[in-house]
Amino acid sequence: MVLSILRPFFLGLYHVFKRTFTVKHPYETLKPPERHRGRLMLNMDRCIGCSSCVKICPNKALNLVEFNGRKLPQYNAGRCCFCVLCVDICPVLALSMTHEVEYSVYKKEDHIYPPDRFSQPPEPVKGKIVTVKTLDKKFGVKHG
Amino acid sequence: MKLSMGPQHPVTSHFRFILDVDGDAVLNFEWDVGYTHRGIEKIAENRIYVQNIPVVERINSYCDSIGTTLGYVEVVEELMDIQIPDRAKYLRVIAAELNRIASHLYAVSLVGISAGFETMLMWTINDRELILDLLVKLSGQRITYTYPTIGGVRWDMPDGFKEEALERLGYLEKRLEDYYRMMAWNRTFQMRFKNVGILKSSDAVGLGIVGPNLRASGVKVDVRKDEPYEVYDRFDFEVPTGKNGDSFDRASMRLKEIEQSIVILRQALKDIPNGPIKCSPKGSKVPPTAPRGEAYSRVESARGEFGYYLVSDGKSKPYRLKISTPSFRNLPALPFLCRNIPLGDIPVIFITFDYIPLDVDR
Amino acid sequence: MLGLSFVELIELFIKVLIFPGTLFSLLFSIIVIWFERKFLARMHLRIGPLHVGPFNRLGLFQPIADFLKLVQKEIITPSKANNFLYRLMPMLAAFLSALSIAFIPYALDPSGGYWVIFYTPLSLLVILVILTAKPFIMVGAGWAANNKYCTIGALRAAFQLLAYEIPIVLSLVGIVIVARSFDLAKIVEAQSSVWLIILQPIGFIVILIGMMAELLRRPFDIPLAEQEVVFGWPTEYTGVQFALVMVSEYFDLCVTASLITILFLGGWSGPAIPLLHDISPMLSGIFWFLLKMAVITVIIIMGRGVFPRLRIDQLLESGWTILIPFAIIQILITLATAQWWLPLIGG
Ligand code: SF4
Ligand code: SF4
Repeated sequence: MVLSILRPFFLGLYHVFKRTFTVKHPYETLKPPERHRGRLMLNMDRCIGCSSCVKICPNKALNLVEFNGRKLPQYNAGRCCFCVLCVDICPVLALSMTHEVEYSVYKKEDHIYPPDRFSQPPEPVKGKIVTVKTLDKKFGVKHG
Repeated sequence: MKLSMGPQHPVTSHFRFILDVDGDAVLNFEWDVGYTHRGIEKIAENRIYVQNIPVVERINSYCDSIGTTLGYVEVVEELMDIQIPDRAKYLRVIAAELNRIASHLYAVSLVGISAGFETMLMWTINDRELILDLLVKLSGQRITYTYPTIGGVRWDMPDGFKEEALERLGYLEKRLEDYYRMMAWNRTFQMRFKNVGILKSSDAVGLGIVGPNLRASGVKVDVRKDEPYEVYDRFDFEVPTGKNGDSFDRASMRLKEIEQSIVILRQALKDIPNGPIKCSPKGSKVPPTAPRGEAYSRVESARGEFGYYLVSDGKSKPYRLKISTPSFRNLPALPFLCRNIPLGDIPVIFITFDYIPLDVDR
Repeated sequence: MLGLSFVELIELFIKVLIFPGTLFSLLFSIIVIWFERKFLARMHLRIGPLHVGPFNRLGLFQPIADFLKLVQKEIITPSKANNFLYRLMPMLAAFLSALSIAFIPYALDPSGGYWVIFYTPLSLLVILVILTAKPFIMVGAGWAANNKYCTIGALRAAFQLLAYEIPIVLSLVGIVIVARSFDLAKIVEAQSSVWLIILQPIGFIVILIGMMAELLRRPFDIPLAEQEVVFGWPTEYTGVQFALVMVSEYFDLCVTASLITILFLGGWSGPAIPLLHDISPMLSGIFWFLLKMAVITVIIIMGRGVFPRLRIDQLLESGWTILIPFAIIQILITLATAQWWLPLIGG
C-alpha cells in the first residue's frame, strides 16, 4: 500500500528530468508528411473547367466562376473539409493539396479564394523544421 | 436542489445532466442530449455514395473516424457486391487499429482528468500525437482521414512506414508500463475508481451496452472475433474482459485493448501482401449507383459496435441510411448507475463510459 | 511614538515591509506560482510559461503578468449575490492569511530576541485560531455568491477544514509536550540537538497530510473540484477579487511551509554558512529556514502532479478513522518514551 502511494511520487519526479515533448511552434515546425492535406491549390494552366470537382464536393466548397473569359473553380476554404475527393476526381490533375495550414482570417469573405488567389502557392513556413528524432523511454522523445 | 450540469461545464461536454442533489448526494439523474444534432442521416440521403464518406465520418470525427467510415463503406460494398483486394483489407485493419489506439489513449486521458489527474491527460495526449503522426503519413489528416473508400483504400503505405510504425508501437508498449504505474496501480486512483458505478454483466446485457464497457462487465463480445469483417479472422489476438464491471475495470479495459491492438498491428504489418489497393485504379469498376435492395454491416469501433443499415432504391443516392452508434446505445447506463451516489462520482462514471456527444446526437 | 526607539522603529519597518512581511510573502507567492507551473509542466512533459521575463524562455514574470491582467478586469457581482459579504470575503481571506505571518519567527535576532514582527509566547495558539477562521470565510463567500456550485463547494470546504483541524491540533499537542511551550521560538530552541521529525515521524506525516487538506492542494482539493463543482466557492469571483483569493491561497502555503519547518525541521538551526555567517549570523539562519521551507513546498506541490482527487466521503472517513487515531498514538508514544527523549532536548 505504501508502495502504491510512493511509486507515483518517484515516477513523477523522474519525469521532471525527462525531455519535454513540446514543439515550440512558431520557432519550430513539425515537418509535414508528403500527403499532409492543407489548403487546396489550383493549377490554372491545366484546368479545363470540366466542373467535376464542383459536382463531387460534398460541402459545396468549390463553384465555377467566370475568370478572364474562362470557367474556373473558386474555392471557399471556410467550407472545405479536406476530404480530397476533388483532387482525386480531377481528370487533368489540376488540383493539389499544399501544406499550408495557417490561413485563418478575420472576415468570412477572406476565406473565398478566387481563381487567381487559388492558384498561388503558399508562403514557406518560418522557423526550424523538425521531426521526431529519437524515441527513448528513458529520456523522452527528441525532436530535431 | 435541482442542479443543471452542463452543457457549459468542465466535464459534461455537450450533454446536460439534470440532477436532484441533496448536499453532496445525487438522488435523481436525467440526461438531456441533442445539443450537437446535425441530422447526418438526413444529409446522407442527399449526397451520392462516395460523398457520404466524409459526411458519416463526422459522426465521430475526433476519435475513431476510421471505424466509423469503415462501417459505411462496408455496407455500400455489400450492397454493390464488390470484392476488395487483400492489401486494401490489411491497410484498413492497420488504419483502424492505429485509430483505435489513438482513441483509447484519448479516453484514458479523459479518465485521468475526470478525477483531476492532469499528468495522465498530458502523457497520453503526448503519446497519442505519435500515433496521429503515423496516420498523417498514411492518410494526410490528423483526425478526419477519409481513408477507406468504396472499393478499397485511397492511398498505399508510404515508404518507411512499416519500420516507423513498429518503432513507435514499441515505444508505446513501454510507455504503457508507466501508465499502469501512474494510474492503474496508484492507490489514490484505485480508491477513486474501484467499486464505483458497478454494472453487473446481466444488467449490462439488459441495458444493451456495447463495446469495451460491456467487456468490462465480463461479457466477451467483440465483432472482430464474433463476426470477423475485413481480415480480422487471420490474426491471433485476445478479447480482454473485466471482472467487476466497475469504473476501474472500464478504465483499465482501454489500456488492455491498446495492448491487443499492438499485437494485431504487429501481425498485420508483418504479413501484409503486395497487390492493388483498390478494385481498379480511379475506381472505374465501382458503379455510381447501388442496386435496389438493403444491407446491414457491423463494425467494432473504439467505442463499441457501429451498425449501418442502408436501403437503396436504385438511384445514385441512398434512400435511407440508419446508423446505430455505440455511445447512444451506452446511454441508458448513466441514469441506471447515477442514482443515490455522491456527486463526485458523476464525472467518474460518465467519463469511463467514454461517451462522445457527437455520436449520441448524430 | 509607540514607546519605541528610532532603531526599533526602523527594524519594525523592515520586518513589516520586507522580510517576513509584505515583500517576502508576495515574492514567495510569485516564485511558488511560477515554480508550480514550471515544475508541473515538466512533470507533464510540457514546457510551461515561456516568454515573459528576463531570461530567455523561462517565463519568470508570468505570475506578475497574470496578476496585472486580473487587476485590469472588470469586477462582476452576480445580480442575486449578497453584495456586502461577497465583496468583503476575498479581502478578509487575504488579510487573515497574511496575518499569521506576523507571528512566525524566522531567525534569531543578532541583538537578542527573535526576528518576528509581533512576539508573543502564545504564537502557536494564535496561528491555530487564525486557521480556524478560514472555513467561515469560505462558507460566507459561497453563500453570498448565491450560486449552487458555490454553495456545494463552500459546504464541502467547511466539512473538510473542520475535519482536518482536529488531527492537526492533536499532533501539535505532542509537540507542545516536548517543547513545553506554545511559543514557536521555544519549539525551535528545543530542537537544537535533534529535530522533531526524528522524534515524531507519525506526527509529521499527519500534519503534512492535514495541512495539504487545509490548503486544498490536489489530492484534497475537493471543494475546488473543477470536474464536479466548477471551481467551488470562488467560482463567481472575477478580476482582482479572484487575484485576492489566489494570493490568500499562496500566503497560506507560505504560512504552512514555515510552520512545518519550525515544528519539525528545526527552524533556522543549521551549520553556519561561511560567507553569510560573516555578514551576520542571522542570514545563515534565514538561509537554512528558506531551504527547509522550499523542500516542504515542493512536497506539497507535488501532490498535484501524481495523485487524482479523492471523494469527499473518503476524505472525511480517512480524516476521522486514520489521521486522528494516528495522532493520538503519536501522543501516547511521546508520553511513554519520555525518559529517552528528555535528555536529547536538554530537559
Ligand atoms: S477537399 Fe473536399 S470539401 Fe474541400 S473542396 Fe475538395 S471536395 Fe470540397
Ligand atoms: S480543377 Fe479539375 S475537375 Fe475542377 S474544373 Fe478544373 S479540370 Fe475540372
